[in-house]
Amino acid sequence: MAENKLTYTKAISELEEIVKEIENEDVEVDNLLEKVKRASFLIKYCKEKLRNTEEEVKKVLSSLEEDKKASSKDEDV
Amino acid sequence: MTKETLTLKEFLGQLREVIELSYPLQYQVTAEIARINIHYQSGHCFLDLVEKEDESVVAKASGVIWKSRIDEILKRFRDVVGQELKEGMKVLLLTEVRFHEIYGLRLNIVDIDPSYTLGEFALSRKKVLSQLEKEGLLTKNKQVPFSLVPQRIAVISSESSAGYEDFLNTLHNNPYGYKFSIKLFPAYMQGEQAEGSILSAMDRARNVAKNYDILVIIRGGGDNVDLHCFDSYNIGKAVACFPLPVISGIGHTRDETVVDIVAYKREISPTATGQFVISTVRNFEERLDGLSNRVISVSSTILAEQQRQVKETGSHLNIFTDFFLHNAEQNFTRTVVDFRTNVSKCIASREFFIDRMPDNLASALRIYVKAQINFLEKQDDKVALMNPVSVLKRGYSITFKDGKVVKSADDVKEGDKIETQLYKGKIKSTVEGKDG
Repeated sequence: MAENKLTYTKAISELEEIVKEIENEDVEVDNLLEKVKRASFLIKYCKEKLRNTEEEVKKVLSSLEEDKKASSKDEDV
Repeated sequence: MTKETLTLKEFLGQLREVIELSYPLQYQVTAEIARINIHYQSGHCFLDLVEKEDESVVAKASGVIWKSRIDEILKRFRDVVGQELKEGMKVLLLTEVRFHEIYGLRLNIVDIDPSYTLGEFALSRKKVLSQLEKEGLLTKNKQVPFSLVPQRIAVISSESSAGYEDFLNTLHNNPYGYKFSIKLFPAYMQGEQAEGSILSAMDRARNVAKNYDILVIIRGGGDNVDLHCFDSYNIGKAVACFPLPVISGIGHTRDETVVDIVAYKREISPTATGQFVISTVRNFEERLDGLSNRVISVSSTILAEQQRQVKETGSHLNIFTDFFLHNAEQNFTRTVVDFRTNVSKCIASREFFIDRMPDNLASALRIYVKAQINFLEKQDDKVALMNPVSVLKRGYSITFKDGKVVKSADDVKEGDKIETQLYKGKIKSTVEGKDG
């Protein structure tokens, strides 16, 4: 848990990586959607975390994860 | 040996005369205050004065400040030094020597020069700093990595202080809605117990340091406050070695204390400390927003480009579809015409059976019509199944001449310009020859 825990540092460095990739046009359109989704997840996660307590963030995080699962199911169909 | 015998009073009286005659002036004497006490009844201030060498006392005397002088002396001292006169301080005294038959030798303190004490402080502060520097501790805390978002804050302060209140208000009322979790490790921030109390609060905070991003030391107050403990070697060392970045939010305008110097960052007041924390978090969010804008701008550019390509592909697709539908329609019409011709031919060729085999004719005709209808239905299915794009994709191509489809070599002659539509793109060519 501790290792997987998303920190501000991890989030922003992953975000910077994604921005770099899509700006360099290294990303195919299909992946682009995934990358943009991940980026907006990270941004939302950080923004929530800035304004909420740890508990609230956890809740938000799990609902975001569910959204993610739901939308990836949609894609499969 | 002795010529006459004296009473104790006579003897001490002589002693008093000798001392007062030999030391008739006011003298400047430096000493350390070992004890200070204002007598609650008389209002006089009694002191134990000492001199130490390597921590052991090598001289000791009693002193007194008479009530009539005490307010003036203490006030001036407080104004200049910023602290009350107290035990442990080194002082420069202007003193008269008094000997009393009952009270013995006593220094009658006429004045105290506060600038000497201030100089002693500066000197001791300098010693502390050079000791810390020798041990490599001056910049140690500044090298501790600073959290991107210092949201979990351990505070050393006193619960009831206005400074702590200011700090909390600044953080909780930040205009961006950031949330902070703040844990107070209470300590006395002034007085005799301050040093020990702050050190033990820091110990408690150190044990749970992994739950926090920064340690903040908060103390409000103006210039007239006792900052002595923030110049202590022990607290300086504790701050330098603390596992989290330490922010010093000790409100004062005098020269930096040792804690201010060894801390990761020094702020001039508790409010300023809160603002620093908020602006650090704000910087992070601005960085986040910057990245967010870049994601939006890049991805919308890419998507717009994709959309344009999809539209283009779509219009190509329309051309193919139109062509195939047209073609299929022509085929269908032709089939219908053929069918009619066949039927009438059939009818004509078999007309002469009519008279002789009316039953046979009727059933033969029925069978024939059924077969033709079957055939037509199959043609219809084929048209429905025909996917123009996949046909082209399989390698078939369509040849046009003057915009009309070429279905036979007879439709063209040598030198004609023709156009070939492939799955991707068109070829323009000129007929060089033909077979069939």
